[in-house]
Amino acid sequence: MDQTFEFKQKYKVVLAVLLGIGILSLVYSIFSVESGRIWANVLLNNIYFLAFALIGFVFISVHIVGQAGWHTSIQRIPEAMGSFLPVAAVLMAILLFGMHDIYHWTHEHHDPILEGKAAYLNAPFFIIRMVIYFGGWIFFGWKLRSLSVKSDLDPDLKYFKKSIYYAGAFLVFFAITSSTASWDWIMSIDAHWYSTIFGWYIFISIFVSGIAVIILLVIFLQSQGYMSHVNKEHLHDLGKYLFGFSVFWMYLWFSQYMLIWYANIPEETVYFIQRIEEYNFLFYGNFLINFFAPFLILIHRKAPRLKRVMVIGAIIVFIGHWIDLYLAIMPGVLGDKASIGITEIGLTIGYVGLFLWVVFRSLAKAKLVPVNHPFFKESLEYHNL
Amino acid sequence: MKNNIKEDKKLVSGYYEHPDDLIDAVRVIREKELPIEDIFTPFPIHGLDEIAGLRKSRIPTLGFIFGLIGSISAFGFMTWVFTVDYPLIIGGKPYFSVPAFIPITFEVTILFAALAMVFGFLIRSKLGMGAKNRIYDKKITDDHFLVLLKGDSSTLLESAKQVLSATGAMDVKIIED
Repeated sequence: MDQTFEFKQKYKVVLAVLLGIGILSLVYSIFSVESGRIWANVLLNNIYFLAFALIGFVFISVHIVGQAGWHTSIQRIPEAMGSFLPVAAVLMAILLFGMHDIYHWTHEHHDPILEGKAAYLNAPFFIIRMVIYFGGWIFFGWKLRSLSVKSDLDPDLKYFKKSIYYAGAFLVFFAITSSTASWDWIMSIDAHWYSTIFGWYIFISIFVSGIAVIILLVIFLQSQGYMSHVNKEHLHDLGKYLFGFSVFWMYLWFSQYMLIWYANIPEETVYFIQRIEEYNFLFYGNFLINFFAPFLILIHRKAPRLKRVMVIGAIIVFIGHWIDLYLAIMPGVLGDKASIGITEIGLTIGYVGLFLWVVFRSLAKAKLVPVNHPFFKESLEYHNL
Repeated sequence: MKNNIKEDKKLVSGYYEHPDDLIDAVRVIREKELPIEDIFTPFPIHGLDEIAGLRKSRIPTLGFIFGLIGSISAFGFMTWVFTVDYPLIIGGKPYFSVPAFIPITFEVTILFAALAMVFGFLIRSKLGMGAKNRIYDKKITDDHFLVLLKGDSSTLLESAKQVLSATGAMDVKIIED
């Protein structure tokens, strides 16, 4: 039970190769594709991998506030995912140099719609908000992580009790900032368009993909001989999250689509018309891959208890929500010229390498299970059926 | 003249005070292959279904079938009304407007599945209005755990009594149902 993860040389080699692929394709892209496409890809992957870090802490906080027990058996994995937050902050700061290419509100004057939004959509306030988001997220994440690690050495309950307050405060902070951040970074690409459900939609999208990453990491660690205490019951619960929130994602996707379709106001429908006409295949594929695939794969009660099925489901969702973000970002930046090529795939592979490097480094720093967590024994006894 | 063809069912009951005792006892009963009529617990015990050898519930299948019936009938009915029976143009949309039908299809699917599962459960468990009171003793509504074994033949009756006493059950008695 007292095992620790060892960041072996062979993992480092594989991850360095992934990172190398990313850097090579970035260099290739700088010389062969337009700058807007590169910046849009950087934005997409920044948000996608930042999301895993955030969802790691959201996952922990929700369970701490709800006094849940089962999650403690895998708690160190979302915690380690959260350690990517500072790296994501640096990557987002780099993105500020590409604002001109991505956000047309930064440089367009004499546009009456944008003038009306100028009080919120202006570069200084954009940067201030970004600092506030990352400051808050990193502070709460660091607190939650350090309280959890401290309790390994000292079986006192005070660390757990303190973490309840931090978890609750983080959830409130996250609820507001996740919404505003998705307006700032994604919705403002189409600065003339707006949708009030957009923040929720993006939140659920990243939540599902974050759960998929947790599942993949758990199963990977088990295949390497770690975490033998995690059994089918814990896997089943993660599968329920994946299934339930995939359905909820569809609910929000449809809520946004149907209201805009029904009201049929030109300034709102423009968003969907562009995506249906120019990205027809991806637009409907997005719906199939993110709703029907996980729905049909995971609907049977026995399905989430099988590792192979869960790996397939999680990989589909991981790719699916990348496409979902792609559809939210690319048409706004590049119009009908976006495509999926070396830039897109290579950069994403590079980000996977970087993300896993940070996560594994953080995993190796503490024990793989919070042995002194008050609910840890309960999670070992956990039953679903 | 009343003709009682059905023989009276005989049951043997015994109490346990702790869920762990109950689980141990049920394991012994299953080893000896004695037929279990029912087990009453004041709260759900995880894993007891498996230990007592219960068949998997078929309620989810019922829910799925009725959900399917609900979604097909709701979608089909709306399609028939708006394309064949009484075509109306609403908000400039075509007669056959799938997005507008989805919310109602969704609601009716849930309604059918939920009602089928509730009534299916009540019928299958012989519950609902006019159901026979099967509280064999008030203690099971508070903090005791009761095992009910079948005792249709005299040998079965004897071995049931024996195994209950041997596993530490209290107040072992025969109930004529």
